[in-house]
Amino acid sequence: MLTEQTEVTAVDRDTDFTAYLEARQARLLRTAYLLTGDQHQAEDLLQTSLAKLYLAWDKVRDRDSVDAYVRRIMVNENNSLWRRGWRRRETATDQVPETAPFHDTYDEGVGAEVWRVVQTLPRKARAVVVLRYYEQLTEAETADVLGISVGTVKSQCSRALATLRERIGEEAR
Amino acid sequence: MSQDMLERELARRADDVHGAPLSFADVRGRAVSIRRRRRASVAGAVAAVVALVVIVPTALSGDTTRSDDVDPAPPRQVTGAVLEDGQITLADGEELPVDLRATDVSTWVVLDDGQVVVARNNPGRIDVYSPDGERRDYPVGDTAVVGSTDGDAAAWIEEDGTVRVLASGETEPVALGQVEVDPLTGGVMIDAVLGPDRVLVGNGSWTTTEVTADGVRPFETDRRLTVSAARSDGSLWAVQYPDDSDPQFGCAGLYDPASSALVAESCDTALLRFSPDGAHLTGAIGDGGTWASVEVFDTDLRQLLSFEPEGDQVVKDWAWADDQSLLVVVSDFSDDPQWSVVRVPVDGGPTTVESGPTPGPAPDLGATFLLSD
Repeated sequence: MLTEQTEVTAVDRDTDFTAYLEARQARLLRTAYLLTGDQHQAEDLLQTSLAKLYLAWDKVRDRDSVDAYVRRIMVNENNSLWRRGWRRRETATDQVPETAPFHDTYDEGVGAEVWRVVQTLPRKARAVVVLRYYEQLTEAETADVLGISVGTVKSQCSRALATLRERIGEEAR
Repeated sequence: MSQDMLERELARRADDVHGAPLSFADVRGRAVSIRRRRRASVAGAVAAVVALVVIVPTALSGDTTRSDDVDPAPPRQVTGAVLEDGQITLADGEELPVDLRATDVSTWVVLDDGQVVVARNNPGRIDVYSPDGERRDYPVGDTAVVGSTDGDAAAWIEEDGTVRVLASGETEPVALGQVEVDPLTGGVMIDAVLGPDRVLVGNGSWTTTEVTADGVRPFETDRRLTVSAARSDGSLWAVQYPDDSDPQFGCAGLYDPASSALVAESCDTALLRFSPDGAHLTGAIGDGGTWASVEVFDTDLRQLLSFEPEGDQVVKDWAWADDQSLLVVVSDFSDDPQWSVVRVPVDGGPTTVESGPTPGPAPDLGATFLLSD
């Protein structure tokens, strides 16, 4: 009887997780890409993060908070991998695409310059920017995911926008 | 307006990303792999302790001679080595064929006995190449290897927190100790290798633990700091510490471990690395994987040089070539990215292109050249 219950629980658990996986992975991959700036790293980061989520699935009692939970894993995993920014993390690929996944041709390259600013942001500042301006989290939510103060979120957003204004000058104003 | 543009650009870039969907089996397979590696690492740690016990009596006896008949080879220069697909070129020009692509590698170091230690991704593991090209591999947790400044040791950390050290002149790494690992994030990493018997470990934010042959103990200083490198004579450590003037990076400094005092500070740089002779340091601001420039400082952290690549190029990587020059890998974000290795003299003399230009991936997709740490 105990075995049957355990099996039923495991099936429910996997079904539950699979439903989450199917519903959310596309969006999470996009976030992972913005965090890493590298599609292959993003795919690897997402798979590892989801695997860690799966291992911890029973601990995530509040299903409404799963997104926040997996974002935290992704950010921690990504920051851990980058190790103060000095260590490089390149993920092996079977083939290197001939071009970047996106090439901007609009607005006389302003979009490309914006992306270049994002690409050169410090990793943790970049995470702040992605969570605030792509995930549209509040400052408090962003601070909670990253484990930093709201003040730091504000200052890093402010700094990123100032850098952007400086780089693209009048075109951004 | 700039916030609107940022939001729009992030959305545009993200919308263009379409990966192959992960199945439940993919995720579960990775989870099983993580779980299995943890178990295997525990078993490996037990075996390593046994190996360490065998080594200790030899060391205590004072007999450290490895051979009565063979003189040790002169130390190799450990800086200035370049990895490109299929080949490592050491500082003396010797070429070592390797079954590696630059994009397979996270970090790599050269020991002064000629062994090359590579942390590679997918699958994550440590590859050690002997000077004759023979390869051995070892499990790893945080996929990185860190070398001492003078090349006498390289260290990595396993999934369960075991700190594994390969000393110059040895063929097998030993388990120096085991540190606690956060089971969710695995957030432990080697910050600095001070020698074969002393490794500093951190949590990603600051250095927390000192692992020596005598045991594992908390790393205690009067303030939280991250030790990122040590001068080869051990007299100075390059450190990073929190400071209100820069909530992201904090400030960089040089720390005298003998007096437990900061002897130089700068809030305008980070990622300090000593030159082989310890007279200069490189530094840069930013950790997004590409940098706008790289700077050279003296040991008072006065800036001596700033190298900013031409045009739209960015710095992808840099390392000391020797006491008087550094190597810098540059590329660009054009439709046809070109990669080069440039030698930059510390005295401000003209730069020279050592390799390239060579077509390669966009800097956010990979690398054509990778320098040894």
